[in-house]
Amino acid sequence: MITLAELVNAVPLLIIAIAAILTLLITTFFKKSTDVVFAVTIISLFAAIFFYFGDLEKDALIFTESLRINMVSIMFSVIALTAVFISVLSAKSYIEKEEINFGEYYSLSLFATLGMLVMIHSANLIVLFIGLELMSICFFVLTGFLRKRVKSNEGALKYFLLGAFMTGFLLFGISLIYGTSGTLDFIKMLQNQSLVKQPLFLIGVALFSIGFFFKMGIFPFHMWVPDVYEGAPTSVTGLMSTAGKIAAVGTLAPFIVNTNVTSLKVIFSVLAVLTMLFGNVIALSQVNIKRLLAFSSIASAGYILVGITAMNEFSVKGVAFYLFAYTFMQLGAFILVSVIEKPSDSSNDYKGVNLDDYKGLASKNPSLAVLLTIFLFSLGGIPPFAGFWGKYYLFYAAIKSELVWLSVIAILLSIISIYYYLKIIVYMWFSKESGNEVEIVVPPFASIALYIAAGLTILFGLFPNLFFVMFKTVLK
Amino acid sequence: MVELNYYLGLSSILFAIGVIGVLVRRNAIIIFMSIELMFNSINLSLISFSSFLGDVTGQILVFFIIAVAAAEAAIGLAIIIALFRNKGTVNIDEINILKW
Repeated sequence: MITLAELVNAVPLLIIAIAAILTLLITTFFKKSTDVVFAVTIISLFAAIFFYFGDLEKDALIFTESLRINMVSIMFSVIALTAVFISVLSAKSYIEKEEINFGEYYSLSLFATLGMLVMIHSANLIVLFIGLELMSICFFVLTGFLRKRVKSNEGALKYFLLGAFMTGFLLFGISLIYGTSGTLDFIKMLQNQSLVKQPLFLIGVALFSIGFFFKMGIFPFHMWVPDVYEGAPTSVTGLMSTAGKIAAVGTLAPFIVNTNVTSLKVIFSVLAVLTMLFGNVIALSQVNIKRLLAFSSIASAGYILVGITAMNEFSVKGVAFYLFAYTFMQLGAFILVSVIEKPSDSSNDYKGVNLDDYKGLASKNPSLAVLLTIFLFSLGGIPPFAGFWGKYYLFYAAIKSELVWLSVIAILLSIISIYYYLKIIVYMWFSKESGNEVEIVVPPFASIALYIAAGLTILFGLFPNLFFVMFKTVLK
Repeated sequence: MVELNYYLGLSSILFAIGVIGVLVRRNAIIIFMSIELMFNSINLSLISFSSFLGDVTGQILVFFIIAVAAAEAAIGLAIIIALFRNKGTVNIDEINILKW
């Protein structure tokens, strides 16, 4: 039986679920109502964040022990919802510009959000699988949303085929975990300490992790990232690179940290090094800014993996803070790219996404240049911004687990990343404008989203403790 | 009664055939069929685990996998059709605009 108390605990999920169905119905019956749908989406996302800070039980298993509401899951859910909120806020003007202003865009975003929340809150592997697939299937469709453009189609097909292929490995892992532990329940699995010694169980956990590494874009399961990020509409890329990653990490990190499978530590740290190396080195030679940010997001996944590899009490906190900071800087950068991108014409390519298009941006539109500089400095990990503290907490966790060598490599590799971020900044501020370009108009909603992202990047850079205070006092 | 290992062996072989199919074939629809084969081999292993453990949750997961595979088929074929309309091919060797 579902009790009222359970429903109260699941209010944020229910809000998103109802809003997703409602937006779909509104779109079906009233074709010209995208503004209404947009308003419903924004209000429901805001309400969901609001209720997470409300009167939820802080450690509850609801719906016949299939969903788990606790501090960690609430924290990751709030971060994911914030990412979706900012992304949807900025998407309105972008999809109008690209002439794909359909209500389904918002509905799919909400369904994907529901998938993320279900996944983060899942207490057993069945629910986790459903949440993961709900999120992935919505992302497949969103990637191919510009259905007249070959690049978008191609990105969607690649993402779909590889995503489904990797889901196969994830399920094989789940099947082995089930066969050795006899249960699909996380809590029962964690109680059985002897499992970690069974090789078949470890293979299961490894295959399960592969499925998640794919979603996070960890080497060697990263090859889809640049292609899909380049092919997808820019607003969708922002959503995938932040919210999608938050959901995958928020599900995997607590699980891995709690099982504390030390025998996988070596593999994880090697993968982390390779991911950071690959992402940062290939990013050096990119000329397309979406692709460059895609490789930088691969590198970020590597930093996150460093935090997960530590497997101690600082891991989850560090990962959460990094993701929180990452949401604002990465999403802010992608929103800027979507603003600067030129409106669609008949061609099959995105216009205005090359690094050359950023030459002389400072003289054309100084405020945009300042914002992008903030985001890129933050991504590079330069101190007064939130990105610095994100990396600090991750590497701190690694050092606490005596993985000093890993932290040193991570810091060295993150210095490489400053080169390609600075390249864009130099283009913006010190290069002459290439041609007589049209003036860039910043639409109102996109500029709100940009200023929120930039403001929070600076705020959490100056007061990093605010994050921990926010999730301690408000949620306890 | 047939031993568990035989079921797992069959399931692993089917899974491997699916993986090889994905890696070797060049037609997007055949690749998709190979992925479906992988899913079904996993269903087989889950059912046999479930039966030998005397626990029903594995079979419940199988129903969800079947449902998700159906949803994925709908989306996947739609994506393939959208690409075919623009490009006139579903051969993945010719789908190569996006590359570094």
